[in-house]
Amino acid sequence: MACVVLAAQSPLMSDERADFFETHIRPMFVQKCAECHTGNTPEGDLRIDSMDSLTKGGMSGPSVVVKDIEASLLIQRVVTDDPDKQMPPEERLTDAEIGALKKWIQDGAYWPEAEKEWTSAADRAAHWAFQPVMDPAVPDVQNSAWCRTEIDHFIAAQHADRGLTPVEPADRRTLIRRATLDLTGLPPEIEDVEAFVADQSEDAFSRVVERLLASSAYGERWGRHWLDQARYADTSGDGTDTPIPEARYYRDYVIQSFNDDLPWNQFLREQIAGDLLAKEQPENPRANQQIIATGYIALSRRFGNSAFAEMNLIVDDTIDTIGKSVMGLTLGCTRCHHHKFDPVTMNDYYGLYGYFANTQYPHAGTEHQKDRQYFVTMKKNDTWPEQYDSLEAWAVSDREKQSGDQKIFIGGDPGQRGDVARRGFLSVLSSEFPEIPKDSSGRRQFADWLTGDSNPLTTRVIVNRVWQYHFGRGIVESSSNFGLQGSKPTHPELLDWLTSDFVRHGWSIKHLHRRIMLSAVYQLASTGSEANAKIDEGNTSLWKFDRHRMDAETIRDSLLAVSHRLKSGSNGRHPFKPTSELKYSQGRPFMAVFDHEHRSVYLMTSRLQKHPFLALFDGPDPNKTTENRRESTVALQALYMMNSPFLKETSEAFSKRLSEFSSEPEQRVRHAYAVATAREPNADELKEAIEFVTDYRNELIGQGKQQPEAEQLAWTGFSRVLLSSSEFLYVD
Amino acid sequence: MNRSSLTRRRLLAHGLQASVAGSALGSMLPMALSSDTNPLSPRQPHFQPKAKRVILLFMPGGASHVDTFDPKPELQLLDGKDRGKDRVLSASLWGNHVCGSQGTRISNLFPEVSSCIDDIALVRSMHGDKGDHFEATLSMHSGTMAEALPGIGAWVSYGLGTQNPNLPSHVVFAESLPYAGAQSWDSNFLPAYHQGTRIVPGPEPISNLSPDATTAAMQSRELDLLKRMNQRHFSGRSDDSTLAARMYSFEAATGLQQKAPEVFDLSEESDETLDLYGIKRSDSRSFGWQCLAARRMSERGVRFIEVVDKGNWDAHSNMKGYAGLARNTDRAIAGLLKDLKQRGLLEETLVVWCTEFGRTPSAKKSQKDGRDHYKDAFTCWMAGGGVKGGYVHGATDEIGEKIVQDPVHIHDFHATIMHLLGFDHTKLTYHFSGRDYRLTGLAGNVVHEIIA
Repeated sequence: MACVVLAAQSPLMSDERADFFETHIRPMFVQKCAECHTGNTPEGDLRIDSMDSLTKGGMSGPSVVVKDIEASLLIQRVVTDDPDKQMPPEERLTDAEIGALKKWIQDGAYWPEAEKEWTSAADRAAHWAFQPVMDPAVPDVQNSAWCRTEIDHFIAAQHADRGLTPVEPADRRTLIRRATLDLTGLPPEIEDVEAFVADQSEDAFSRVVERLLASSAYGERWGRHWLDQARYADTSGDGTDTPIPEARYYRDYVIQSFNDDLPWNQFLREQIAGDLLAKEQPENPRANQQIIATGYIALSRRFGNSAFAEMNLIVDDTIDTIGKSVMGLTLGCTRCHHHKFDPVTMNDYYGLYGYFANTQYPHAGTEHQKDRQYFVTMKKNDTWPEQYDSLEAWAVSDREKQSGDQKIFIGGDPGQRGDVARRGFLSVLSSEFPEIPKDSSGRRQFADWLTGDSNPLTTRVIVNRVWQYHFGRGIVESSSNFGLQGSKPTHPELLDWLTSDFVRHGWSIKHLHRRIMLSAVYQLASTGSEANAKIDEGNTSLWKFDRHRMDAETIRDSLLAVSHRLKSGSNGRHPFKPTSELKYSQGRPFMAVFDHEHRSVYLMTSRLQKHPFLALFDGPDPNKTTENRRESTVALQALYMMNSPFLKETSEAFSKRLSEFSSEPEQRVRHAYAVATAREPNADELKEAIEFVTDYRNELIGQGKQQPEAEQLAWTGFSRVLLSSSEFLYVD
Repeated sequence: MNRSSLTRRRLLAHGLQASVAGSALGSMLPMALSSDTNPLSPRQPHFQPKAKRVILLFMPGGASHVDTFDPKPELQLLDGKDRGKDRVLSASLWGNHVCGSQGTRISNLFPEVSSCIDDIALVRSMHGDKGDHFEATLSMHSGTMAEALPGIGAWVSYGLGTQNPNLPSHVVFAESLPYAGAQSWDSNFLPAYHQGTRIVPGPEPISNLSPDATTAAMQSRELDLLKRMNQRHFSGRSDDSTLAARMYSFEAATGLQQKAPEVFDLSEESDETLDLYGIKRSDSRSFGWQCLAARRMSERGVRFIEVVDKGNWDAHSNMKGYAGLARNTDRAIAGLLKDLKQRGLLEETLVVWCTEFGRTPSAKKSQKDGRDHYKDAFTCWMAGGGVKGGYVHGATDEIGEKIVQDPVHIHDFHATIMHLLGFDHTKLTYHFSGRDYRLTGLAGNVVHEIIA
C-alpha cells in the first residue's frame, strides 16, 4: 500500500529527499542492516553506511543502482521469497519499508553530501547536538526597545521572523508570585509583595531575585529538580524495597550544593567520582561530601532478592541515568543493540559499563542477604552535621579487585560475551581513550571527560534544563533526549549563547537564573493573543509566559506555608526501624508512608509505593530519571481538595490564621486573598465571600450548631474553597 | 515542530477526566475540548473487538498448576520418587476430575469453577522469564521487570478510554498489596489518568471519596462558591483549556462521589445473585464481594478491573493451605462467570485468571509437603470476551514439568488479550524518551487458536 501511495507522488525536492532519507531510510538501515553490514568485516563484504559502498556492492555485486529498482540487488534481496537470500534474514521488511526503499532509489538514492561515509564523525556533523557549542553574536533586532537583555534579542529576532508581537509584561504582583514560586517553591509573603509593588527603583526585581536565590528554600526547590533527574529514593527498589536511612545524606548534599552554587562541573565530577577525589585529598574538608555525592550512582535501582541480582540491570540504570540526566542521550537502548537512531554503539555502552563494572555498589540488605554491605565509612570532621546519626554513606567505591575492560554482552545477555569494549567515551564525540591506572575503575577520567571541553552535551543539557524549569518547556523540549529522535531546539543560537555564557561564568547555576529571570521574555504576562495564537498557538516562540499548575511538592508546601504549618529544615532520620532491624523479604517488603509538615523534598520516597499525594499530583518517578513533570487533571485530585483530611486540616489552620489576623470579616477576606493570591479582592469578591460565610454560618446555626463553632466552620469552608481554587494552584 | 500537533499534544497531556458533552459547563468550553481530545473518552481500537473490557483475577504468590487446572494423574502415582538434587516428586493432596463437554481434567479444589469449564479456555503452556515474586508480578503486569513500565491495565485504559465519565477507567481491588506494590498498576510514562485507582474493600473503598459529616452538609455551598471563583478566573483566561478541564474535574468528582458508593452498594442485588457469589448481605470485603463489585463496575463502563486475591498462593513448605485459598475464590469466580453470562455480559467481557508462575511438581526432601516457584510451565485461563469455551491450549508432560505443546510466553498472553480487545499489540505504542514503547516489548504472538 505504502509503495503505491508513495509512487503516486511527484518526485521529491532535495530538502524533502533529505527528510525522506532521515525519516525512512537511515533509521531502517541502522535498525535492520547495520548490525551485520557495517564495520571492517561486514557480512557479504557489503557495507550499507556509505553511498560508495552501496553502489560498489559486496560479494554479489552492486547493491544500489541509482534510479533503477529492477537492477538494484538491495530490492531483490528484500522482496525475495527465498529464505536463503532474504534480507534481513530474521524478519522480512514490511511492505511500507520496501516501498520506501524503492521510492528512495527511484528518486536518486539521496545521501547527505557531508557524509561521504556514514561514520560517527559524519553523524556528528549531521546532528546539531554533537557539534561544538558556538558563541553566536547577539542579533540586532528592530524591537530593541522591548529587549532587556541579550536573551531577548534572540527571542525578538524570532518574533520578528514570524510576525509575532509579545504580550505586555506581567504586573508586579504576578511577577513576584511567579518568581517566588519558581525559585523557592513557596508563595511570596505579603510584606515582600507589597515592598516590591512599592519599590519603583530600576533594580527592584533584580533585588527580589537576589533575595530569593540567597534563601535556603531555593536549594530545596532546585535541588528537587535534580533529585528528579537522579531518580532519588530512600529505598532500594528490589523485592524487599529495603530502606536506606542514609540516602538522605545525598538528598541534603544536592540541596546544599544548589544553595552554595557549587559549579556544575564540580557537582557532576563529585557525583561520578567523589570517592576518588576524596581519596586523593583526604584532608579536604569536602571529602565526606564528595563521598556522599556518589549516592547518584549508588541510587541505581536494585532487583530480585539476593545481593546484586541482575547486576547488569543495576549498571544499566546507572548508565541510563547518566545518559539522560547529564548528556541528554538515551544510552540504555545500547545495552542490547547498537542505537537505532543515534551514533552510539554497543562498544560505547560497554566502554562506559567498564567504569561501573569495576565500581563497588553498596548493598542495603535483601531477602537472601539481609546484612548491609559495602557502605562507605566516612571520617567525622568539623563539618559533619550533628543530626547525621551514621557515618556510613550510601555511596560507591572502587572494587578491590579490578577486572579491567568489559566484554560486550551480546544481545544484552550477560551469559553471552563478545569482544572487549575498551573503557572510553562516546566515540561520536571523542575517539580518545583515557589512561586508567591499573587499580582504578577509571571513573575519575570519565568524570573529567564528562565535564570537559570536548563534550558539548553536558553544558547544553543543564542550560536547557534550567530553562525548562523556568518556562515549563526547554529550548529543546525533549530535555533528556538530544539525540536524533529528540526535539530540535526552538532557539538554537540562544541555547549556544547561554551555554557559552554559562561556561564563561564558571558553570554557575545562579548566574544562569539571573540571566534568564532578568530578561523581558521571562517577565511577560501569561495573557493570550488571538493574533499570535494564529501563528504560534503552542507558544514555541515565547510571545507570552506559559501558565502552569504548581507541581506536586509546590502544592503541598504552599498549603502548609499559607496555613502557617510549614516546619523549617528537614525531619532528620525518617522513622524507619533501627538500622539493625531493617530486614525484609519480598513477602513482607518495606511498605510505609511517613508524613510530616516539613517541605515535600524531605518526604520519604519509597520505590514500590509512591507517596499518595505525589502519585496523585504527578510527582516524580522514583524508579527512573524524570525528564519533566506532567500536569494531569483528574477527578481524584478534585476529590482530594474536597474531602481529604489534609485539606481539612489546612483549611482549619488557615481560618485560624485569618481569625487571629482580625475579627473583621472584610479584613479577613482581604488577608486571605493577599496570602493566597498576592492580590487584593475586588468589591464583588469581598461581598461574595462575606455573604458565603454568613449564609454558611446561619445554615449551621439553623442545624443546631453553636455560634462560635458555626463561625469557625464557615471560615474553614471559605478557606478550603480559596485554597482549592485555580487561582491559588496556577502560576501566571 | 508541527505547531498544531504540539498544541493538541499539550492539551492531551492535561487529561480531561470526562466527556464534556451534556455537562453544564459544555457550552463554555472551547471547541478543542470535544470528545476526540478527551483522552478518557471511549476510543475505537484498531479493529472490531471481541471484548470491550477485562476483569483480571490475579492470584499472588504463584498458583501451582498441578494442584489447580493442570492436574497430573501420573504424578499421583509417582509420589516420593527421587529426582536428584535432594528433591522428590510430590503428588497433589487433592484428587481431580473430568468435567465439561470436552472432558477437561481439573483439580477437585474447584468444584464450582468446574461447572463453568465450557466457558473457559485454559492455557496450560504458560511460561515466563522470572521465578521470583517481585519480578514475576511485574512481568505478568507490564511484560518486564528490567524497567518500571506501565501495566496492562494502564495500557488498556490508554487504548480504550472509558465509557463512564463518573468512574475511573482502570481500577484495582487490592485489600492487601501484591508483590511489587502499586507498581503493577502504575501508569508510569503513560498519562496519570491511566493509573489504576486502588479500591480497598471496607468503609472507604476509594481514598477521599466522601467528605466528613459536617462538610458533607455544606459541600454544595462550597462547590458553588468554588465554581464562581474558578469561572471568574477562567473568564480572563478563556484560551486556556486546561483551566476549563480543571473546573470540569470538580463536576466529575461530584459524579464519582455520588456514583461510586452506588457501585459498592449491593442492596439492589437479589439474594439469588449474592448466593451465586457465595456472599452474605453484610459482606463488604470478601473476594466474592469484590467479584460482584467488579461485575457492577463492568456494567458501568469501567474498562479494566483487576481483583487481587488477598490470599497468597506461595507454599514452599505445605500445600494444605490451598484448600482455604481455593475455597475463598472458587464460588466467587464461578459466580462471576455465571452472573456475567446470565446478563449477556460474558461475551463482551474478558475474564482472565492468572498468577505469577507455577510451582514445581517436586519438593525438597526437607520440605516434602511444599512446592517451589516454577516459571517454565504454568496455567492461566481466560473466559468470555471471544475466547473458545471448553478449550485447552498447550500441554505439559505427564508430571507438569515441561511444556510439550504450544508454549505461550507472558508476552503472547498479553498480545492475545490486546487482540481480543481489538488491538494490534505491536501498534498500541507510546513514544517516550526517544523510543516507542509497547506492552509486549519486542515480542508477543497472538494465540489465535484460543479465539472463538
